Amino acid sequence: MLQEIGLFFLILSSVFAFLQITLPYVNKNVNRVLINKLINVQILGIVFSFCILSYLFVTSDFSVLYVAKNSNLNLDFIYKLCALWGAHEGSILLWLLLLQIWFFIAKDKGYSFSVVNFVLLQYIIWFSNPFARIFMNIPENGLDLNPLLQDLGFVIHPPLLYLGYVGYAAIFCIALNHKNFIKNLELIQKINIISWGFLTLGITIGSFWAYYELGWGGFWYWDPVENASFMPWLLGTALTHNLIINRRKNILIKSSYLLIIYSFALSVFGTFLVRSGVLNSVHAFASDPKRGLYLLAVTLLIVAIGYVKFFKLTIASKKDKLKLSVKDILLVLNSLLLTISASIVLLGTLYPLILEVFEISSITVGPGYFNTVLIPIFIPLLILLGISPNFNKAIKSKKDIYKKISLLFATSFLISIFINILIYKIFDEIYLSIFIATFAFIWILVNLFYDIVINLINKKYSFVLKYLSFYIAHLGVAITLLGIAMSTMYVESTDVMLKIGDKTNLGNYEFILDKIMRVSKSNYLSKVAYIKVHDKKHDINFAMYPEKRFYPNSQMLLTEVALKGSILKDIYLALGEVVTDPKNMNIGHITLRVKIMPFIRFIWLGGVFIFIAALISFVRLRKS
Amino acid sequence: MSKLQTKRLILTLSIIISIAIGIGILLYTLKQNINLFYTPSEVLNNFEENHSNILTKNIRLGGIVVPGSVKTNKQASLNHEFSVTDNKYNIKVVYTGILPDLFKEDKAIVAEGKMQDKHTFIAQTLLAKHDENYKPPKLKNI
Repeated sequence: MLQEIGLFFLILSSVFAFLQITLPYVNKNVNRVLINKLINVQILGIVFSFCILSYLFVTSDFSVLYVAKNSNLNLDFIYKLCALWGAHEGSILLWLLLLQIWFFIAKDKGYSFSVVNFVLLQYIIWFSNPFARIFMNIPENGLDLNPLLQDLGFVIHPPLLYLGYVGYAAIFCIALNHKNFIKNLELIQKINIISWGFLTLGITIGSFWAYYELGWGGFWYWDPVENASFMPWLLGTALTHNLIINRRKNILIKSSYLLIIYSFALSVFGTFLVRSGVLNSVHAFASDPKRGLYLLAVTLLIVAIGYVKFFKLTIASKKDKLKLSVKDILLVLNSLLLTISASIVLLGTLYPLILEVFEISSITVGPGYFNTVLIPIFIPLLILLGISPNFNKAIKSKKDIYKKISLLFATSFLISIFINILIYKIFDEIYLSIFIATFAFIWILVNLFYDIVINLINKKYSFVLKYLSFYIAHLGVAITLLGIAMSTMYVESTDVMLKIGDKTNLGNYEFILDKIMRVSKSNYLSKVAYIKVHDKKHDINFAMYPEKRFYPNSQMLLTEVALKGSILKDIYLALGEVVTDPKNMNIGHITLRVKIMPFIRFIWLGGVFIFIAALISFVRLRKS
Repeated sequence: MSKLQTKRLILTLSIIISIAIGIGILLYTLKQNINLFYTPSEVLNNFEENHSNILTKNIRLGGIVVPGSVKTNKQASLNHEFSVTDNKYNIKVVYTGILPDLFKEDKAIVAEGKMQDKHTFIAQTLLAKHDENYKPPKLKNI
């Protein structure tokens, strides 16, 4: 019964969304208050149906197909609840629920919201109904939540990512009200900054999750699903910067408008990529071609509607229209380079898809493409990012600024030479790419700190406070950059076979397989390898416990890596096969992947910095 | 042409040329970094005519792991040997490294690497990161 009520609430919401769209056409004088009431009912309907689905998950009602497929009696409470967004149907419902937050806040910003809600509700009701029932042979126990997803990282990764995506949906809806576009810029900027922050954090946590949960020790794979979140992020970053010019000078409004269309279109398109089943992907946990087509159609519709409104968009010209300051030019270049990067990622992601659809050949595009093409674009981007603090204030004389920049350049160059000598002493190897990366890192740092220190000396505290999010976000980029370069270039890795008592060496560490234990938990069986590690340099001993888990419900094997991490270095152990004599646990062997990655935590630390910067910026915008 | 016109002409031309060069580099890099996907039948049927392509380039070989074909060297258990099939032809795959969690007999696998000769494939990586019922689109009908 409850299941039908859940679906009923969705249908009710969809009817009310329909009324919101049609009433203004039927009766020109329809009361705004009435429309707002309709909106409230629609939002409540979605909230109720989400609550019902959560309840069905928590009480393990396996007469619901979606629950039976993605949950299990033996799951912990938290995973029972989170299994809700473990697959497609629930994720889309969560997406819709989060969108309601913005709908509630921006109720009177035109009816595009109602249209988007209506389209999504139709999609859920017809193509991805989470309340679909099993009437015959109701299973006593559900299949399982994919073991890879039974993890804290997964609990928070999708909601964060969706908080980002729905922000772009909301901005798109507000922007479609093109007559008031400029009036709404402030609201758009607020929603953008907070959504962009959540998107950044979502991607960061997703990358960290992939690192320790997928068991290959990489943090980014240029997988279509990763690209699907990276493209809206790149465009969102461009938009974040472009809006700064918009707010100051009322110029470059149209480019912001286009960025808004494409960041929303790409976030829906990302869902299409993940769900259509056309691409082989790491994270494609559920797929259905029919849904893919619907989502593709929606994407095309978004772009089409966006363009129709775009050509109607007129902006009252102002006198200072073409007076771009150096800061504006830097910001424009930044947006341009970021948009080009997004197009490059899109090309690499779409290329295999197009060839596949036209049955020319099946291919995959390797990480080599993205790295080779994007790095030459990111280098000028980083240089721009580095000099940006010098243009936060109006420039008095050109000569001074040249002098200042060349001085900062020389300082950074000298420091980075010193740092590289240090790196060479520690690692015995040095690469050109490391030199470039450390230089870019130092360059950004020197410029930022010079600016902060000069302003503090001159007692311009309010200025530093005003640009706090600017400093923190750019620092975050520098930190991530250093993490990527160091961990990729100085990774030490080996695959070995160890019998009990055997040892292997990597870096300054010695690894000894002490014993293998069997552990049995409520929903999985596990073989744990006890590995003694000896740090030869500091003469410290500690133990690490990589696991191989078997989940009988889904018949899946899972590698649970062991991590010994500090901010400067991670030791990473992943088990391959574990073979033991059934009678004697003292006889057996394992295959083990050992990795030592310096500075890898910097990658995610930088992401957290950017998130904090977005929060600060959001608070500042709310105050002003 | 006036000075202004010449200036504009040069500007436009240089923009067009740099965009063209940019796209050229892009497509070239793309071409260098694609991995072609083959089934065992496609490898063996095209072997004679497309000899150089198949032997020199990195390819992806997809198929079902033949039950009973998995041999692991007991002395150094990082060396593995097994056959993949598309129910018409079999190809032997040699792989040194850790088998992925989803590697199972009678399940689909995608191996990345090179053909050594007509019957042996040297795999550098085994991709089995998908869910366990996944099959590459070309193998859907098996």
